[in-house]
Amino acid sequence: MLAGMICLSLFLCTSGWAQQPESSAGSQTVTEETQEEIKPAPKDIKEAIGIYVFLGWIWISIFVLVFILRQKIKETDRIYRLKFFSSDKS
Amino acid sequence: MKNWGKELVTWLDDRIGLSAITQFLKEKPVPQHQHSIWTYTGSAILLFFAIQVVTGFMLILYYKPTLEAANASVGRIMTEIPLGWIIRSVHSWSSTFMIAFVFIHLISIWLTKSYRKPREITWMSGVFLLACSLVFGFTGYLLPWDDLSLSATKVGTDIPRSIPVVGAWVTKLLRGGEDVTGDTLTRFFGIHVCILPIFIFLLLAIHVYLIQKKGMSVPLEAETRGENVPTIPFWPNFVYREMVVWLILVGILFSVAILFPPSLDKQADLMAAAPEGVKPEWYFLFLFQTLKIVPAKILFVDGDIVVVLLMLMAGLFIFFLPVIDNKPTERKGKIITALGYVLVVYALIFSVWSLL
Repeated sequence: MLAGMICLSLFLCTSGWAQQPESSAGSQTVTEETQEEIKPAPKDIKEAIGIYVFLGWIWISIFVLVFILRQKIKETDRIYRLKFFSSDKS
Repeated sequence: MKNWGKELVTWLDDRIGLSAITQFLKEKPVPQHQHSIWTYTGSAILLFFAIQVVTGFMLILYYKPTLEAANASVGRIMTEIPLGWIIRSVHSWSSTFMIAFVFIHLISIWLTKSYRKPREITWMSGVFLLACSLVFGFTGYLLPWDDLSLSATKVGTDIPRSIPVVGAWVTKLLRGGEDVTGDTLTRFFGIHVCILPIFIFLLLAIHVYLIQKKGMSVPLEAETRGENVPTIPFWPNFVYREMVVWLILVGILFSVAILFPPSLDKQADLMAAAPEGVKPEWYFLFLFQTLKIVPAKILFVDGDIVVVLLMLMAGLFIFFLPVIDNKPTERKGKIITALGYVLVVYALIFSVWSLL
């Protein structure tokens, strides 16, 4: 999940998210487009594939992390019960 | 690497007392009972709020809050800025999920009576947080400045006009004039990115502080019977459980945002008539439907005025609920619980009805 987020951040940075210059040609295109409804979608097949791969990556990461967290939950609960019962006995 | 980390922790501890906080979190008990599932709604709200802040920061880099440029700047975010449509979609869906969880959180606290003594002020700060969340949604809805958002804002800002004496003034204050114009847009933008965040951070600080101070409540039945409810430590046992919930919610959010992104209508035309089927956002639909079906006159008073006054009274009732429900185990308490169920059913039915 962390690797996926890092990859997304790198992708955004290299595509210039934070430094996109304003272009007059681009603004005209946008002005024309805003006369009609704009339905958002990936710009090209490369972006579409990248987005769906990213979504797949997110869910695989989630399943892996949830599995790890469940093991950690079992372990921490076991440790807590041991501490709880040993302090009860003392 | 490990030593470097330990040295950093020691350095921070010497200066800000970090170990006191971590020790508190390790010892803080979280009750485990049949209503425990509702305890995850609070942190879910915080998660979505954090996502709102981050995506909001990204959107504000390109959004222009003026009459001429607002719609075009949102269009530019969606068409020219790399993955801008996803960021906008995440921001939009995250607001929906956040407000949904705020409602679920409020209802769960109401029905489990977790607002009872000594948590009354926690509830009251929570009601203010709900109000802030709704105003966040309402102000944000206008910012794309398209036909739908303009019409919905005209309808929404007209509702307070029905309040006797101050109604017209409130509407004028919200709109920055008699009508919804570019002044309204700039005003809503300022409220959305500056005024509301200040309020919400202050309220959150109070709300979270009181939760730590008073601890998490146990079921009313267990408290009445004097039962010992089993607990687990907040850190790390409960936090690991919360992380599972957060991961799943983030996955759902990104999936919905990518598969069902919101579109952008054409720029609002101040001179044009309202488009057909104008509706507010889903969290105001029940109120919208109530106003639609109420008769023009109720006992010689305008129907709209009656509904708005009833809604204001309901808001005050909800705010003072812990004070009103001061004996939760008695008959009055049971009636208030039943009223909670009635309100949920009413809101659901009227919301669905307004969509038909």
